[in-house]
Amino acid sequence: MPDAHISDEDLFSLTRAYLTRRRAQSPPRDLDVNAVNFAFTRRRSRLVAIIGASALVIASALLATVVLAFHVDQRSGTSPAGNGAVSAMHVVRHNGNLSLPGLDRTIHDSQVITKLAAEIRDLPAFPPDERCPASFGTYYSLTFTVARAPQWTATIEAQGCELVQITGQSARWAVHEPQLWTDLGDALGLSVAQLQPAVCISPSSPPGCAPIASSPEP
Amino acid sequence: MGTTIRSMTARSDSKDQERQLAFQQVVTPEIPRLYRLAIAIVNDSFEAEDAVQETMLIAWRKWSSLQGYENQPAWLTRVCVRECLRTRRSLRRRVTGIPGGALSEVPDPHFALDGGMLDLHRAYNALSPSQRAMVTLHLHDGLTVDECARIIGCRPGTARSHLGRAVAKLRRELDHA
Repeated sequence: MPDAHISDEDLFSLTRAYLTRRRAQSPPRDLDVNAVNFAFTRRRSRLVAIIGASALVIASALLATVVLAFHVDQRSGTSPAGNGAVSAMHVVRHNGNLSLPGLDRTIHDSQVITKLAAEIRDLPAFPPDERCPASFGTYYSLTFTVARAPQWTATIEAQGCELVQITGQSARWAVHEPQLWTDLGDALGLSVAQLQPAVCISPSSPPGCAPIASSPEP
Repeated sequence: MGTTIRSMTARSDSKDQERQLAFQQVVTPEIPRLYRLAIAIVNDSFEAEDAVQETMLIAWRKWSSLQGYENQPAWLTRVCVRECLRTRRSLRRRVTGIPGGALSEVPDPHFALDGGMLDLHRAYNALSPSQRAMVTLHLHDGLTVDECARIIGCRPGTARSHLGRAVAKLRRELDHA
């Protein structure tokens, strides 16, 4: 039993004696073999885990690349932002409130229609507070076929602000881009006046104007 | 092609075996010493075994660089002590509400104690793992405070503080025994 005020020397020698006895305890049998084997086997399993994780990362990266490439490819096909070669353009005119001859044509001249697609791509965004002239509901639907990609469609209003709408994108307008109408007319073999006919609203309307239909297209 | 791959695999296996053999030759004689050191710090035979096993795992992972070390036993000691402290910390985090030193209040049945030694055992158990590490390395192994600090991985001032508190706590416990 130690004294009430044990000296440093006694305390240290008692502690040393205690630790000597404590540390004299033999290690469990086979600890050396088990510990070394543990190190060897755990290292292998860690290696397997590292290889597995690396494979997973590589696979994920590959998958991401494929998805990204597909997405980019799809964008280039489905929107005018891309530069994919366009192989066909199907044009349909929806007459709206005007009485006009039917128009449903497919153009295969790749150079012409690729240029048209690019022009549509470059159209400016429609300003939010713009006031537009009257529209009679006439518009053109241009469906572009791109190699190895889904088709994409742009609708172009013939009057008013000449709104251009591509599926899934914000509106553009063509009112300040007369070249688009010229090129579309060239592609269809029509004049700009035929594509955007004046409306017969008074006796002084120009010849060739389009009368308002008695029963407009739905 | 098959023969080439087989011979490459065989060569690689043989190299692995050589490495393992060299590792065993260096570390196996150290295991009893590391176990005894670990048990003095963690005061629990199972935890001491775990600490030694983790030490071996780290040593094997770093074997390439460890081979070039001049004093491999010292390196193993350092890893083992830190592993003991790390084990205790993580154990205390899992077993909430149990103070660090109270996990092995009952002496090992193989470790017979009497009178003053039993009091000291209780007092020693009340120390924190870092304090136990300082006591065993400094008082038992005779290392300087600076050497202890390097092994534990703290500043000499901190090591000195651990030691001072440990001695004060031992004295207090024994005085009240």
